[in-house]
Amino acid sequence: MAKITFDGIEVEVPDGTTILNAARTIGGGIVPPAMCYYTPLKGSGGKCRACLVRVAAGSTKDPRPMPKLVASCITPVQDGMVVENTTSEQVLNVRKGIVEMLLINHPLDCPVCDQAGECDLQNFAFEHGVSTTRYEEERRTFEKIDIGPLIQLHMTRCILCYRCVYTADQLTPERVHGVLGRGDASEIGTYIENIIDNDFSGNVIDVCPVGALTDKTWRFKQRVWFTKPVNAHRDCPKCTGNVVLWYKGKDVLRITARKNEYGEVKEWICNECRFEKKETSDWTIEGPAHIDRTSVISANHYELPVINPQIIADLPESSVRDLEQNPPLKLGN
Amino acid sequence: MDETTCIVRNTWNFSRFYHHESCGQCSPCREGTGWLEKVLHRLEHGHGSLHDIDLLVSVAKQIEGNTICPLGEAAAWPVAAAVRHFRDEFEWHVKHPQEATRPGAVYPGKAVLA
Repeated sequence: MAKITFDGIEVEVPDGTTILNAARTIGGGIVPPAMCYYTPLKGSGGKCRACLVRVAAGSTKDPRPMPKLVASCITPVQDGMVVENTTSEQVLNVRKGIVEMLLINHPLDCPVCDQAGECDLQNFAFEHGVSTTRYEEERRTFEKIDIGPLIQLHMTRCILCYRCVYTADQLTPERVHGVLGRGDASEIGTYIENIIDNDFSGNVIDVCPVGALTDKTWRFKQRVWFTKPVNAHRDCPKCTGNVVLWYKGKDVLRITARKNEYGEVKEWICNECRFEKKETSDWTIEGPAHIDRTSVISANHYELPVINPQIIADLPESSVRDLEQNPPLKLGN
Repeated sequence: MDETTCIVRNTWNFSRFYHHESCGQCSPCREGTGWLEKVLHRLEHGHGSLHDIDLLVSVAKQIEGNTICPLGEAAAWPVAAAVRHFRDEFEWHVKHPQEATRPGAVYPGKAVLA
């Protein structure tokens, strides 16, 4: 076990844990953002540099600070490490720079992008970036590449996080999907415009932090914040069958895998579940999926608020009775 | 290289090299080297402004130390150093674009003795 101090909070984690995962055991606003790191994918991380943190003391044995900021998603902890994230001015300034770098070649077409509302880059830029740009030149654009009837690849929006490459590599037996070219001319693709034909290929849509890979059966149908996510499952011979159905009225518009609070897929789902079973009768409904309170999707308020029991205990009895009779928010229709 | 070499053109050449060499894995280097090259191209061809000179320093600072490998620093440092030592020549390119972009133009200022 290693004991580290992250932003002044002490936490004990097993040896070999990365700094980012140690911070996630604390949780809350001090967790560094991650655009390319994805826990279920081996080898991911270290590319976007969004999670850079300052290590003020390397370990108990060697308490010198690390000379450069380190990527917290790939740096393992050492006993006695002191890490600064939100408490370090330098880290916050660097993160602003990273947002600017990621955005200079991003088309910023959020109003027509299907990912808007659940886009990692949007959240990252909103929380850590500045509202202006100093980039005056023309942005990088690509032709749309056809990779099959189910998935749309739009390279212009891509931030080259490599998540989809690792997904395609680790879920499929043979490699069809990768990065071509180098530098700012590198692009994700199949060589040459091969169709991705695999039962689990749809998972690249879920791992994409931006709108570069989108579901063709869902594109341009609805804004994500007008839909209602509902947990459901079915008996699937290929996968676990645990999914989220995105409803608009009575129609299932989209099916995705369940994600945790950091936007990481819990269980991969197969293409049959994702693209073909778009009837409520195909599924056993479990209940509304939990969406973070700060997310724009939760603007629908379909979930009753959880009231802190301590607050209830402190309230006068008349107020408690009043709350029970008139809950502050009612179940949406 | 001697005192007749155009520093802006030379720095642009450095940047063009690093832009071409960047592998594209990490974002500061992938996007930053291209940005530096474009700004220097603008300055060299007489379309720059005085803000661009400060922009170069700021972008170089955003790249250095934040990349996976030292190519980021290698791309940022020559630019930052050129602006630090030869800012007057960069300003001459901005203020007198016609003179500075003439073929064989030599900066008329004093040579910097190190």
